Amino acid sequence: MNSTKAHMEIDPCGSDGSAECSCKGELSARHALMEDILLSMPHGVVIIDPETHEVIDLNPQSMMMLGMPRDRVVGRKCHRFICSTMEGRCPITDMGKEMDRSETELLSVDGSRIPVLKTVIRANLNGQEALIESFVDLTEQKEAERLRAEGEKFRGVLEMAGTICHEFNQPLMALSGFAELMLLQAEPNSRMCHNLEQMREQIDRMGRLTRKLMNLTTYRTKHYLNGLIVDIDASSKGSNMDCGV
Amino acid sequence: MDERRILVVEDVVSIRDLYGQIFGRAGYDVRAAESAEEALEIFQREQFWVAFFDLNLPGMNGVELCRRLKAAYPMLSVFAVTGYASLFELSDCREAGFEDYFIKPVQLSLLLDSADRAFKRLARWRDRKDGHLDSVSAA
Repeated sequence: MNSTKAHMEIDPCGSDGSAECSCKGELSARHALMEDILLSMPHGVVIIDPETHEVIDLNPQSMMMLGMPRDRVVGRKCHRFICSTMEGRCPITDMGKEMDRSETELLSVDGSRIPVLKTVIRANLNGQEALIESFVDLTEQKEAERLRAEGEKFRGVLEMAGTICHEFNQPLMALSGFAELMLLQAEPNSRMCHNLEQMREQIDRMGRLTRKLMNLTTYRTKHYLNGLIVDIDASSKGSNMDCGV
Repeated sequence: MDERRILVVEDVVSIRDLYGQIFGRAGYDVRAAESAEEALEIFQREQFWVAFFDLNLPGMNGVELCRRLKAAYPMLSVFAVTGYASLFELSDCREAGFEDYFIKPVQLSLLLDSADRAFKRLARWRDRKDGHLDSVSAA
């Protein structure tokens, strides 16, 4: 897969030097085609020695995903950054599978984990047994799934917030209004007046809360005891909606 | 303004009662309806200059009621008082002809101020109209 063609020369005819590919020109043309495919494909491909589980070679897309040049990857054990299974539990060499396809994570040089769909098969490269691991980067797909799930949760939160606002603001209006009315009738500076002020303050607080619920724009959570709750302050845009028109 | 009459349209009985008490205490003559349809019936019998509508009403909603009444009575000042702002867009309320828009729970003093300003504006408009008619007569 590199420019000198010293690596990863996959024998498209197998290891027995078959008669069908006796023409040298045809063979080299097919080699060149295979190499072009491996260089240009948007998926990562890594060749691994099944005995040692060391990386033999990899294509440029793999290097980009891992964030490492070839010489930092070749010769290293695949368990360290490509395969999440533990040493001695390789699905092909230890578990006897012909092919394995699974969602896993690559560990890139900066420590970030890249979700991938990985396929491993046995292959014969010029007479040498090898494992070919190819992987598709699932980062964008996972992000889209996360956003979709978050969007669904947010829609649910909005519907619940709307119900709470609609149902709560009616009794709050009555409570607030009658407290205000009683305040107008109460003796100034009396105990009754003080108590009604306290009541009004708490009703106003609940009113501010329902206003925030009406202004939810994003889905943010915060830790509460052993779980998560919606962070109303972080999820709502701050605005005073007493008067609008 | 001698006709200090207010129409409130609200489906929650305790809030209708509250409006009746607070506007009554301020010297207004209050009529209450629990639906838009009842409000339209009342309008056929009596003239109003100021009204407060809930938006989420059974049957016809407050926005549609405002749209119909403003078409027939352009000088009517209508205020929206709603429990949930997102049910109706602000632009819908403006287009329907609401003068102002309040989210429950709202301080009663804000409603009283709105009613007061609306009646004063109508009084100024009447004075100007009468003055204009007087000058036309004198000429």
